[in-house]
Amino acid sequence: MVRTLYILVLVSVVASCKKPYIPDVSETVNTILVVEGTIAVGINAENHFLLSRLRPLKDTTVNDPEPGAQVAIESQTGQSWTLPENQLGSYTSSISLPSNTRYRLKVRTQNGSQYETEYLDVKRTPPIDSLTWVQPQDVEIFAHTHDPSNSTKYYRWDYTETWEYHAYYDSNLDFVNGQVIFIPPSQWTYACYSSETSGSIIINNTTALSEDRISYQPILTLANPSPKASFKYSILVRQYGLSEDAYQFWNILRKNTELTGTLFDPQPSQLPGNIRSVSNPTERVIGFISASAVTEKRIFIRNAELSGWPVMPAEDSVCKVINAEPNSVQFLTQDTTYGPAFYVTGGGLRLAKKPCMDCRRRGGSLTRPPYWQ
Amino acid sequence: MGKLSSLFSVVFLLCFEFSSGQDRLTAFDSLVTVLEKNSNYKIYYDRKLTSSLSIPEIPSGSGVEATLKAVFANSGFNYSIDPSGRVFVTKDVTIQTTLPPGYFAKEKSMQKFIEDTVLRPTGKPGAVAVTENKVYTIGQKGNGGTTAVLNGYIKDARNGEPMSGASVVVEDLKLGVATDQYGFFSVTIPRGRHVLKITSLGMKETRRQIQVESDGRLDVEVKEDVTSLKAAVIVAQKQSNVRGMQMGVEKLNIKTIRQIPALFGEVDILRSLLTLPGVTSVGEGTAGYNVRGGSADQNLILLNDMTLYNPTHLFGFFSAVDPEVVRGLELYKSAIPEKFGGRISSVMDVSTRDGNSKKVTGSAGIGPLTSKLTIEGPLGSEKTTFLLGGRITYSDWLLKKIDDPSFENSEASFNDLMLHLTHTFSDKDRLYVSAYISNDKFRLNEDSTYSYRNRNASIKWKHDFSRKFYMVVTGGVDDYKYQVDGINNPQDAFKLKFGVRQINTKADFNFAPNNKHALDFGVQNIIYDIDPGSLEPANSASLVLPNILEKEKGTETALYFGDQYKLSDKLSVQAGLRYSFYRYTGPQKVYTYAPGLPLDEKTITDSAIYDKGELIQSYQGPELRVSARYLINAKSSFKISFNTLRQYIHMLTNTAAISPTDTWKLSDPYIEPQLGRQISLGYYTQLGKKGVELSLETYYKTSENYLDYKSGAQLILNPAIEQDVIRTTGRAYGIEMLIKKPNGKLNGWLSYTYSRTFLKVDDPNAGETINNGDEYPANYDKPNIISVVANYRFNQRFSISLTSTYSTGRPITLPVGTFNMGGAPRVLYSERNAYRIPDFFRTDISMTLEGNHNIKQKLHTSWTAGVYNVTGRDNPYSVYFILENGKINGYQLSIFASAIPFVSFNIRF
Repeated sequence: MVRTLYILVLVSVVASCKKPYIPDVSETVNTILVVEGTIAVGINAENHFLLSRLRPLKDTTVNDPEPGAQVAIESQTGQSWTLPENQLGSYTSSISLPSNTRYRLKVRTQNGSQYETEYLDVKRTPPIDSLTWVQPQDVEIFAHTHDPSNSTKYYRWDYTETWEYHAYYDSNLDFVNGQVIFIPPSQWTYACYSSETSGSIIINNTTALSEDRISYQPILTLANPSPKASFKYSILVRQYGLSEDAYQFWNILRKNTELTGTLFDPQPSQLPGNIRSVSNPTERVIGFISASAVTEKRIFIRNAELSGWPVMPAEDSVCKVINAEPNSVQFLTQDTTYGPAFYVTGGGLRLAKKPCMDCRRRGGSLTRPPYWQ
Repeated sequence: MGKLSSLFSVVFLLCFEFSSGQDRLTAFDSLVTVLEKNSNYKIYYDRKLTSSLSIPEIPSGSGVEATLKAVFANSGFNYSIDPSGRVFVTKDVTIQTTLPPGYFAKEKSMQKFIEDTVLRPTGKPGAVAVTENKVYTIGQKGNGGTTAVLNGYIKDARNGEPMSGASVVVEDLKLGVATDQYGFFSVTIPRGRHVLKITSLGMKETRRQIQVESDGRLDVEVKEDVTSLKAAVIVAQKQSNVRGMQMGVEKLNIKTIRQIPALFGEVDILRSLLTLPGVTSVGEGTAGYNVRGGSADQNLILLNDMTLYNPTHLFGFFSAVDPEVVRGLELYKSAIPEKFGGRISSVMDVSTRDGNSKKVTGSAGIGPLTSKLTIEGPLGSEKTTFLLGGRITYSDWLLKKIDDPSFENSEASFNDLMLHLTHTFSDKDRLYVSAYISNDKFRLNEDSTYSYRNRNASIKWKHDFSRKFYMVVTGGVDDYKYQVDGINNPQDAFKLKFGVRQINTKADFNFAPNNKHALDFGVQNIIYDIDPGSLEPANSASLVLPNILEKEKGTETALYFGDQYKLSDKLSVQAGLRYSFYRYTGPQKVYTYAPGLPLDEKTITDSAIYDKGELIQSYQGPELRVSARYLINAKSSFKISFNTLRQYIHMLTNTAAISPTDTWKLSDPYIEPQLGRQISLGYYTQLGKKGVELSLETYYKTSENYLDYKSGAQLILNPAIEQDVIRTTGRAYGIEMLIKKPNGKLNGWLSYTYSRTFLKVDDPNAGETINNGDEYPANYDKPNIISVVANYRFNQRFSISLTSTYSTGRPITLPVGTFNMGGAPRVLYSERNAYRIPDFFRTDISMTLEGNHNIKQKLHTSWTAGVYNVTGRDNPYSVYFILENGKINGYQLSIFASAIPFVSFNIRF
C-alpha cells in the first residue's frame, strides 16, 4: 500500500553506475539450519517442508539440502503426524488437520539436534474470489480476495504456472530402421507441458483499508512474447493468511533480498524467526512457520485470447524444411539430426531438424496434467 | 576646451589600441603624458599597477584632479598631491603629503576642521567616517570620566551592508572587538588619541584616527578588497582562530564557497562544508551531514534565525539555499554558544546579505540545472533595503535525456525564493524581516508523486538601550511538509502527508559593561506542532481507510546566561549556562506498558487520554557551555571547551542517508530527549611569516537516547512508535588537523581527520538488540579523511580551483550467506556495519574567467567551467545484493561514476 519509497531511482539514474561486486566475506555459515513450510490445515491438505543449510555467498551449488531428518507436526491435543522425506531435504505428506486446535513443528536432524516452534494459532484464509488478467502489451495477472470477517488482514501468495506448447512441426512420422513410418498418436511429440513455481515473495495487507479486501493484487507479469502463452497457459495461485509476525518475516526477507543499494534503502534488518533449537538455545535457525488453511484458484489463458502474441517462436533457419527427394532416405541415414516432417500432396517427403518436431527438446513433458482443459 | 575633448578621444582610442600590449604604453601612460603636458603637475606612478586601469570617458574641461578622481573612482587607486605639484599614485594606500591633521593639536586652522567632524553621542545616524588621515573627535570635551564608550556600525562602502565579524582594534592599546551580525561594535577606551584598525573578511584594512572626549559613535565604511580577496579572508580567520575565543568554529564566506568546484556548477553552501575537518556525509549527493560523529538530525540549520528542516533539493543533491543571497555561514562544531540550543551536535548559522542600500542591483546566473535571479536595493530611501533571490530548475530535461521509456512520464522540479528586508527606524532601532520558501516535486513514471516544501519567516527587532547594551527580539515560524500522492491504482489511491511546524519567540541581550566582560543572556521559546502523518483516500473509489495520527505538541523554553571574561591579556574564559524546559502536552492518547517488559502491543496495560494543553511529560535540564583560551604568545594559543546539550526532537529514519520523507518525532514519555556531551582541546599557531596557520583540535563526545529501530519497524503512520524504536548511546572521538596557506597567488588548505564513531544499543526493554548489544560503527564512521582545497589566481580575471578528498569507505552490513526460501535464494546479513565499502577518492577542478573589471560597465559577466570527479573514479556509494534470475548477485553502486563537466554563466548588473 504505502510502498517503500523508490524515489532514489532517480538518483541512480542521473549519473549512477553499477558494477558487479563480490564481497570478501569469510564466515563459516554452513552450520545454520533453514526451515521452510506452512502447516496447512484442511481436508487432505499437502503439508510440505524444506530443510537446508545456509551456504557461503560464493557457493555455486543451487541448494544444500538437509536429508535424513525427522519432521513431525504435533497438535496441542497431543496428536502427531510424521512427514516422510520424498526428495533430499523435502518432507511431504497430504494430511487432514482440523483447524480448531494449535500446532507445532518438530524437527530432529541427522546429527541429533532438535528444533521446534511454539504452538501456533491457525490463521484463517478466505477463498480467492477471482484471478483476472489484462493485456496492454504484457499479460498482467491479478488476484482478488476479501474476508467478510475482517480477520485475515495479512496475505501471502505463491503460484505454479503450467503451460502447453507445441513443437515447430506436428509430425506423425518417424525414421526407424531405414524406413519412414507413421507413429500412433500416443507417441506424437507435438504437445508438451511445462511447469514453474514462483520465485518472488508476494505479500500484502489490508490494515490501512476500511475493508479486508484485496483487489488487483499483482501476481505476475508474463512478458510478451513469452513462449509460455504460445498455445495455452494456466496459473494456479495459492493464498495464505498470515499472522502479523509471519508477514513481518516475509517482508524483511523480501526487503533484505531486494535492497537496491540506493541512499534510501532501509538498513538490512535482522531476520526474525519462530523456530529454535531445543538442544542449544543460542544456535541460530532461519525460518518462520505459519499454520493456516491454504486456498487456491486456477485460470487458463489461451493464445487466441491474446492480441499480438506469437503462436510459435519466429521461424528461423534451424526449422527450415528440406526437400531431399528422391534421396530422403539416404539423407536421413547420413544426417541423423534430421527426421521426417510431413508429406506434401504430390510432392513427396519433407525433412526437418529433429528438435523442430519434438517439444521435449525445450524441457517439457508429454504428460498432460489431469486438470488440463 | 576643444583641445581637451579631442585629447580625451585620443585617450579613448589609445585605450583600445594599447590595452592588449603589456610592454607598450598603457592607456594610463597616455593619460599621464597628456595631463603632464597640459599642467604643471608631475605624476609618479607604478606602471605595473596601473596597466590594468581603463579610462572612462571624462567630461571635457575636467581639471587634473577631477580627471584623476574619475579615473580612480572605485578602482582602489588613490592619489595625493603635495604642495610642489607632485602627484603620487598609489594602490590601496595613500601617501600623506603633510603631517596628519591634528598632529599639532594646537594648530588653529585644524581646530575648526575637527569641530566639523565631531560626532556627538546623539550624532546624526548615517554620518560616516570616511577618511583615514582625518582625526575624528568622539563626544564632547569635558564630558565623562577617564574612559568612554565608542560604538558604531561597520558597513560595506559599496552597498551599505553591515559587516559582521569585522575586527575593530584599538592599535595603541592592543585591544580588539569584533562586530556582531548587525555590524555593530562597542568598545570602552581611555580618553585621548587612538588609532582604530578595521579589518574584515574580503575587505580592505582601514584605519581611523580618533580623539575620544566622551561616549560617542563612529560608523566606518570599508571597501571591498578586490585584488587580494583571499588574503583578506584568511587574515580575518587567522585572527579569529588564534586570538578569538571560539573554538571548533568554521567560517566560510560566500567568496570562499564559490571557489570550491561544485557539482553541475551549482555553488553549494552545504557541500562546501564537507571540505572542512570534522564534517562528513554518508555519501555523495546525500542530504544531511555529520559533524564529529553526530547524526544528521543533530544539526541545527539556521537561515537568518529560521530553522530549516530540509535544507536540500532533489533528495540532497543541492542545497536549498540560493548561494546568491548568502553572505556566509558559521558552523559550530564544539563550543556551541549558549544562545543556541535544541540540537546536540552542531549549529550551522547561515546569514543572508542585507540588500544594497545605495542602488538597485542584481545578478543572474544560468547553469545546466537551474537559473537564478537576485535583485536588491533600497526601497524608497537608504533606510529600507530589500534583497530578493530565487532559483528555478529545469532538471526535467535530465530525466528526458535518459534513454529508458520508464522515465518518459517522470518529472523532477524544484524552486526556492528568499526575501530579506531591513529597515532602520533610528539610530537605535532596526528591523529585519526574512522569508524563505522552497518547493520540490518528483514523480517517477506516473507512479507516486513526492512533494515537499519549506516555509519560513522571521522578524527581528534590534534595539540599543545604550552603547553597551542592546537587545534583539525575534519571532518566526518554520514549517516543513511533505506529501506523497499514490495514484497508480484507483482502488488504493492515497495521499500521505507529514508536517512539522515550530513557532519561535526569543529575546537576546548583549551587555558589555567594560572590556573585561561581555555578557549575553536571553529567553527563548519554541512551540512545536507535529502532524505525524495522515493517510487519506485520493478519490471516492479508493478503499484507503483514512488514518490520521494525532498531532503532537511540545514546548521548549530556555533561559541562558553567559559571560566572556578576560582574566588577563593571555587568558580569557567564556562560561555559559543554558537551562531548558520541555513540555509534551495533549491532546494525545498515550499507552501504558507493563513495567520491565519490552514495549509492544502485547505489553500494553492501559491507555490514557490527555486533554488539550494537559501536561503529559516534561523534561528539563541544564546545558553547560564553557571554554577558555590561553594565548601562549602572539602567534599561538591553546583552547579548551566543554559542552552539554539537549535535544527534544528526533528524526525517524531507517535509511543510511536521510530522505525527504523522513519524519520528526517529539520527545514523549517513552522517547527521552537526546543528550550530548563534548570535551575538546585545541592548539592554534601561525607558522613562518607568510601567515600559514596550523590548528589541531581533538575531541571526545558522547550521546544518549539516539534512536535506532527494531527489525521491520514501521516509521510512517505508526501511532505507537515507541514500540518500534530502540535507544542507543554513542561515543565519538577524533583529532583534526588543518593547515591553511591564506596568502599568495596559491592559497588554500589541507586537512586531515582521524575520527571514530560508535553506537550501542542501551535499552534493556528493547526486546531485541543490534550486534548483541555490543558497539557497532555508525554509518558515517570514516576513520581517515584527507582533504585539500587549493586556489591559484593567475590574474584578476582568471583563477583555477581544485579540491580533492580521500576517505575511508563507510561501514556497511554485508550478506554472509545464502539460502533458499520462497522459491528463490535469499541472503543472511552480517552484524550491523561489520564491513566497509571501498575507500573514497575524488578530485574536482574549476576555473573562473571574469569579464572586464571596468566599474562603469553596466553588466559584469563571469564564466565558470569545471569538472566534477575529474579522475572519473568509480567511488562506490554502496554495495547491495539482489535476486536476479534465481541468483543472488552483488553490485556496487556509484552515484557519480564518471567525470562530470559543467559550465555556468553569471551576470551582475
